[in-house]
Amino acid sequence: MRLWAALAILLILSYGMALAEEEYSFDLSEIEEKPLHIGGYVEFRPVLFGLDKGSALHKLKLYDRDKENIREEYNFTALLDGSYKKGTTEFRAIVNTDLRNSYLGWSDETTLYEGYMALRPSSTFNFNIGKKTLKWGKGYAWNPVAFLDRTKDPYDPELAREGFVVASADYIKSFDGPLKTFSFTPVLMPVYEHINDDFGKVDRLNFAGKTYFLLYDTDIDFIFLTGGGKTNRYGMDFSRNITSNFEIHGELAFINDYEKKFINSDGTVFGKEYDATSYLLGLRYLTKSDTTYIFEYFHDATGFTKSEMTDYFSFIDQGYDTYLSSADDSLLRKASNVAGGSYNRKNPMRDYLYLRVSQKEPFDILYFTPSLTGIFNINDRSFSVGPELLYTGVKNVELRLRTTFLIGDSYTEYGEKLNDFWIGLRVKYYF
Amino acid sequence: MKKSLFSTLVVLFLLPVMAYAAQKNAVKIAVASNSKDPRSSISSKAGHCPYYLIFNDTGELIEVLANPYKDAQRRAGQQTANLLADKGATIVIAENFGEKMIGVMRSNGTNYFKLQGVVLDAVKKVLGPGNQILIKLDRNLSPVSYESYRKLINIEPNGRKREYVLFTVKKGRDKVAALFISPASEKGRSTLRLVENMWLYIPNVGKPIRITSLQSVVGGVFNNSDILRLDYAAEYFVEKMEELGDKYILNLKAKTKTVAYDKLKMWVDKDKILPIKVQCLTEASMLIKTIYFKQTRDFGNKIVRPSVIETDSPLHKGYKSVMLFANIKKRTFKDEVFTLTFMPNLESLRQ
Repeated sequence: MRLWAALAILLILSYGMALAEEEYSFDLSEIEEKPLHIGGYVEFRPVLFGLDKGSALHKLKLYDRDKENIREEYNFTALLDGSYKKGTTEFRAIVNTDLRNSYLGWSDETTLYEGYMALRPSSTFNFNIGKKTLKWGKGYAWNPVAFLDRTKDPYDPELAREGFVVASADYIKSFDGPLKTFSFTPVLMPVYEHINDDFGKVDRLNFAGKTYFLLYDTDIDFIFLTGGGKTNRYGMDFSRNITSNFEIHGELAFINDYEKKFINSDGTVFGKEYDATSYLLGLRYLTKSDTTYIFEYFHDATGFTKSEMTDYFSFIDQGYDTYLSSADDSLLRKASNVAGGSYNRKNPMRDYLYLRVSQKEPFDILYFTPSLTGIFNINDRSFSVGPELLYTGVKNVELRLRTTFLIGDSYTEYGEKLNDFWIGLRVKYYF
Repeated sequence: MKKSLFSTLVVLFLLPVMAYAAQKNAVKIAVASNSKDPRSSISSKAGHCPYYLIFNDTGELIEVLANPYKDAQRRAGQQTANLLADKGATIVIAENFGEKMIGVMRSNGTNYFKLQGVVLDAVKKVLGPGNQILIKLDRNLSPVSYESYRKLINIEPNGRKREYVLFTVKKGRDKVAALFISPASEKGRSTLRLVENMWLYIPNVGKPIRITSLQSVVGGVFNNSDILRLDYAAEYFVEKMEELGDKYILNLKAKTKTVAYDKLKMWVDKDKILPIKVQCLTEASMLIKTIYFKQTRDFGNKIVRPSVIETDSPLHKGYKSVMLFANIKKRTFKDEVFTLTFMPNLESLRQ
C-alpha cells in the first residue's frame, strides 16, 4: 500500500516537474529567418481641438468658417513595412496611408515613406539607393544638423517620417584605443522635377556627408551639405555619458547665405540673406526611481525675432479687419502664402527650451509611463505644456492619451496658435 | 600490422596538436616588473616597463622578457599587448594600463589586473583558485565570440506574461549587440554595448540614443546590463572564495564604479564550473536581485550550459523574469559589427 502511495506521489511530482520544465517554451520556428517580411501598424487617432477664436492663426485659417469652440478630427493610419532579403541584398518599402475626417470632410493620402535597395557585402561597407530617411543629429526634439531630413515634430519625435531619394553608403572601421570607431557616410541627393522637388532648388545634384567618431567614449559627427539645392551648410554633433545615468548632447549648424523671407505689418515682403548659426544643447538624466528628464535648449538662427512675429500677427489682424469690413480676403490670402514658408513651422521663432519628464511604471503598474512635456518660447515667453499617459501592457498594442495646453499673451507664438488646447488618443496595433 | 601502424601515426600526429591546444588553453601570467627579480615591485607602466616576468599556472617563473618597447615613442602599449598575446599570456598584471593597451588586450581576449606591490604576491593572488574558476566559468557559459537567440519572459504577479525574442552577437570581452525579433511592436529595435557605452536604436527615431546599464529596454526585472552582459571576469574579481559541499561560493567585487552591481555572490557547481545562483548586491550588501541558472543543456560544439535563467528581486515583489537560450553557436564577427553605424543593419547577420 505504502509502495503504491509512494509511486503515486512520485508520479504526481514527476508530472509537476514535467509541467515546470514545460512552463517556458522556445519554439525554433520563432527564430526562423524568412526572406520576406511584412509588418507595420494600424492606428486610430481621434483628436478634440479647443479652438482659440481670437487668435491670429484662427483668423488666418478659419476666417470664412463657422465660429466653433470645439472641433473634432478622426484619423486612421495604416503603415505597411515590407522587406525582401536575398543574400547580401535587401529591398525595403514603407508605405503610409492616412485617412482623415475633419471639418473639411474626408481626405486621404498615401505616401511612400521609404523604398530602397540595400547592398551589404561586408560589415565594413554597405550601399543604399532609393527613398530613405537619414535622421542625422543627436537632439531629441530638434535637429539643426539634420540637413537631409524633413523636420520632425517636437511633440512627437518618434513618429515615422518620409525620406528623400538618395544614394548613400557607409564605410565603417573599428580601432583599439581612444578612437574606437570611425565611419563615413557619403550621400548623393538629386533634386529634379518629381524627384525631391520639395527639398530646394531643382536641377541640382547635392552632395552630403557625415563622418562619425567614437572617441574617448564620446559620439562625434561632422556633417556637410553642398550642391546648390540649398545653400551650403556644415555642422557637428556629439553625445556622451558623464555618468552611467547622465548623458549630454549637442548640435551645431552653420548655414551659409540663409535667405529669410518675412513680412512687415503693412504686408511688404522682405528678403534678408545672412550666415546662420544654430545650436542645441541637451541632457538626459535618469534617477534611481526611474524618472527620466530630457532637457534641451535650441537656438534657431533661421527663426523669426519677436518683432518679426509681431509684424506678421498684426498684418493678419489687419487682413481680418479688412475681410470683416469689405469681405475682401486678399490680405489674408497673402499672409497665408507667406505662412506657407517659415512662419508655418512647428516652432518658427529663435530660442526654445524643451523639458520632458517621464516616470516608468509608477505605483508598480507595469508597462505604464506617464509623462509631462513642455516647450517654452524664450523670446516671447509663451509655452505649451501637456501630460501624457502611455500604456503598452497588451501585446502589440500601444495606448497613448495626451493633452496639450497652449498658453501665451497676444502676439506670442502659443498665444496666437489655432487652438487653446487639444486632447488626443492614439490606439496603435502592430502586426 | 597496418592497423597498429595507422594508430601510431594518428597518435603521433595528434600529440603535438593536443600539446599545442593544452599550451594555448594553459594559464600564463605576464607581470610588468621593474627588474628581473620576482621579489621586485610591479611596474607602474604596463607599456614602458623594463621587463615582463612570465609565470605558468603553478606560479613558477618560466621566462624573463625584456620589453623591446620600453623606450618606444609611440604605440608602446599596443605593441606590448600584442607581444604578450604572442607569448601566450592569458593574464597581464601591472599597476597601470593605458587605454590603448587595454583596448588591444580586450580584443585579444587577455585578462588584466591592476595591482600594486611585489610581483610574486600578485601572481599568488591572481592564481588564487577563485579568479581561475571565474575565468573558466565565463568560457563554459559562452565562447569568446558567438551568436545566440534568447527569449525574455516577464511574468507579473497575476501570471500574465510578456515575451520578447532577441538575436544576440558577442565578440571578445566587451562587445555585445542584441536585435529584437519579436513582438511586432519591438521588431527592429537593437541595443549595442561597447565596453561601458550602451545605445538603443529605434527604427522610427533613427539615431541610436545612449542608454544606461540600470535602465531596462524590456521592463521587468532584467536591466540592460543583464541583457547585454559581458564576461563576469571582465567586470569583477574574486575577493573571497569558500567551498560548501559540491559548490564554490565566490564573492565578487566590481573592478570599476561603472559596473551595474557593486558586488556579486555566486554559487558555482564544482563539477561543471557553471553558476547555480548569483545574488546581485549593492556596496552595502543590500540585495538587488537573485539570478538562478537552470536546465543545463548541450547546445553542440562542446557548449554545455544552463538554458534557462530566472530572476526575481525584492524591489519588484511578485514579479519574475526569465531568459531562455537557443542556438548558441561559435561565430566570429568583424569589430565593425559592434558600431553605431552598423546598428540598423544587425538583421543582416541572421543566417
